Amino acid sequence: MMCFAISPNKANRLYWLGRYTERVYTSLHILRKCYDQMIDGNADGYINYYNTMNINSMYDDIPEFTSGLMYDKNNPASLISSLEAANDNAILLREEIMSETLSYIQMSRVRINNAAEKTESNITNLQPVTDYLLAFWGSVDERIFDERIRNFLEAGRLIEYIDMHIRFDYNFFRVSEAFDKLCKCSKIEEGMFDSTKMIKIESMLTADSYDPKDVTYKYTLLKYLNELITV
Amino acid sequence: MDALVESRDTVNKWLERFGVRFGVFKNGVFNEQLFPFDSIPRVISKSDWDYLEKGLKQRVDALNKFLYDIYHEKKIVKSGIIPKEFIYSSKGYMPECEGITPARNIYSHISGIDLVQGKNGRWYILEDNLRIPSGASYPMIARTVSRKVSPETFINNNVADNRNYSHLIREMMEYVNDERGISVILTPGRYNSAFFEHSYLAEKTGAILAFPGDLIVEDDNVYYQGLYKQRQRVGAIYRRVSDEYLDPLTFEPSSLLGVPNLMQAYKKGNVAIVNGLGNGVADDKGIYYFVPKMIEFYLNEEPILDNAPTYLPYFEDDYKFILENIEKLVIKDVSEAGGYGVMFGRDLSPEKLEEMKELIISEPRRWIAQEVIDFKDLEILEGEERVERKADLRAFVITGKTTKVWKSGLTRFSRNPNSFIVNSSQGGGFKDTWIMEN
Repeated sequence: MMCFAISPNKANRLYWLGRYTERVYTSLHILRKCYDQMIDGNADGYINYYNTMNINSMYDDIPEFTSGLMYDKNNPASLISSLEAANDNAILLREEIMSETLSYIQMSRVRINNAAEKTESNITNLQPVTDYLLAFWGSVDERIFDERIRNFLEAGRLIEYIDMHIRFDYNFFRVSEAFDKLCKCSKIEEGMFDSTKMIKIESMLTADSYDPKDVTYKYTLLKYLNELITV
Repeated sequence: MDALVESRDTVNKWLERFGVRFGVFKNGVFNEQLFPFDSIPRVISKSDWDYLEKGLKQRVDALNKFLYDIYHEKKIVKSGIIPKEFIYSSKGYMPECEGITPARNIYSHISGIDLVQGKNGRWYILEDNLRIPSGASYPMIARTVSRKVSPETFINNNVADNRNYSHLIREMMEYVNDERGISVILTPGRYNSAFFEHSYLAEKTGAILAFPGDLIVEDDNVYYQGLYKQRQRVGAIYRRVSDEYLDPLTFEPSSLLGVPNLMQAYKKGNVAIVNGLGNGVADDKGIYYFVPKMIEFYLNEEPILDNAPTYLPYFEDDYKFILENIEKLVIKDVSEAGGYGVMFGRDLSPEKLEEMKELIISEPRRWIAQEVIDFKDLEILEGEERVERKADLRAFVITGKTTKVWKSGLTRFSRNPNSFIVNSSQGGGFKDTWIMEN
C-alpha cells in the first residue's frame, strides 16, 4: 500500500536539507570571490562577508576568520557547521532521497573534514564540495519522483538562495527569477506557505522597489521570507 | 578473490560514501563510527549451507511454536520439560502478552541465530536473537559495493546473491500486514547504534521510516500522522524499539520512544508487530539450554544443529560440575547481551573464581556455563598482513508464509588476537559471508 502522508517532521527535514545545502553552495561561491580578491591584497570581500553574516566579533584577523568560517564547528555560520546541519537532516531522510543522493552529502562531509584536519586555507581545495552539491541536486532530480518530496526540498533551496542573494545585494533579476520558481512551489503545496507573507514579498520584489542597500527594506524582506513557511 | 581482497580500502571508501556507520555512546558522548569491513569473505560450501539451512529453519520453527505455547497453554511446562521458574523468572517473559495471538501466529519474524564453527568443522549455536536482531544491512551493502569494485571476483565465483534480503523482509511484512495499511519501520532515532540499518532497510523495503511521535493509536488502530491532520492506517510495524519502551501505557511509563496504546491495537489484531512482543523469553540464555528439547517436543524431530555444551546451575548435577570445573568453562550472565557479562574461567584470578562461585551459589538461575569451543579462526587483513582471528556468524531466518534462511549472514570478527568477543560495540569488524551455489 502506498503512503501519501508526509509527517511534519519529515517535511521540516526536507525543507532544512534544501536550505543548508544551498547555504553551503552559495557561501562557497561568495567566499571563492573573496579569496580571489585576497590574491591582490584586498580583504574587503571578507570584511563585507563577516559583517553581512553578523560574525565579525568571533575572530581577530583575516587568516583566523577564513579558517574559522570554513572549519570552526563552534561557529554556526561556518561551512562545516552548515554541512553538518545538512547531513543531520539528510541522514534521517535516506529512504526518501535514497542512498545515492545521500552519498553526495557524505562525500562533501568527508572532503571538508579532511580539509579541516589539515587547515587548508585555499578555498579552491573545496571545489569538490561544490561539485558534490551540484551532483546532489542532480540526483534529487534524477531519483526523487514524489512531487511533494521534491517540492519541500526545492522550497528550502529557493528560500535560502533568495535570502543569501538579498543579503549580499545581488541584482534584482537573480532574486526575482528564484522567487518566480518559489511561487510555482507554493502552488504544489499551498498549505505550506503563509499567503499573506507571500503577497507582501511579491509587492516588495518589483524592479522599481528592489533596493537591498536600504537596510530597512532588506531586513523587512528577509523577515517575511523567513516567516514564509508555516509547516 | 585476490582482486577483491586487495580492494579492501576501496570498498571501505564506498561504505563511507554511503554513510555506513554505527553509533556508540562512550562516557556520555555519541560518536558515529565506520564499521570496518574486511574483504576476505567467510566462505560456506553448499553442503555445509544445506545442512545449516535445514537446522536453522527447524530451530526457528520450534522457537515460534514455543512462544505461542508459552503465552497460551504452556504444554511444555506442564509436560515438565522446562521448569516453570525458567519461564516466569525470565526478564523476557511478559505477562501482558498472555493470550495474545499475533498476526498470522508468528512471533519471531526475523531471527538472528549466532553460530560458530569449531576447529573440527562442526557448527554450534551460540545464541538465538529473537527480539531485534541487527546487522543484516552491513553484508547486504558490502556485497553491493564489492560487486562494483571487483566484478571479476563474482564472475569467477558462483556466490549466492544476498541482495534479496530486503525482498524477503518486504514479502514477510506484506504477509503479516494483510493489506490493513502501510508498513513502517519504527526507529528510536538517529542516536540508536543501528540507525543506519533502520534507514537503509526502509529505503530498500519501501517501508516508511517512522520516528517516535509519527504514529498514533485511535479506536485501537494505528495511524501514521501526516501534514494537515492527514493520516494513514498502519498495517505492520517493523519496530526497532525494545518491548519495554514500545507502549508507555503498558510498559515503561517514561518512554518517549513508543506509541501510547499500541498494545490495544496489537491485542485486537489490528496491527502486526515485527518481531512480536514477549520474544525475550525464548532467547533468554537460560532457555537456550532447552531449545533442542523444544525441537523434539513441538516438531517430533531430532535437532539438526548442536548447542554449545551448556550447563545450568539450576540442575544439581550441572551445579556440581560447574563448581568443580569453573576454570575450564565460560560463564555467562543471562541478563546481559552484546558480549557483556561473559567471563572465561581461565582468565579469572583464584579470588575472582571464588567470587564467581559465590555468585553462582547465591543466584543459580542468573548464570549458565558453557564449554569453551575452540572456534575455527578466520583470516583477516591487519594492515597488509593476513592474520587469524576469532569470528562468529549471525544467520538471519525470516518467517512469513514459510520460513526462509537468507543466503548470507553477518560474520563478525575480533580485532584483538586474544579475544573471543566479536561485537561491533567492542571494536570488532565484519566480513561478507559467501554461500557457494555449487
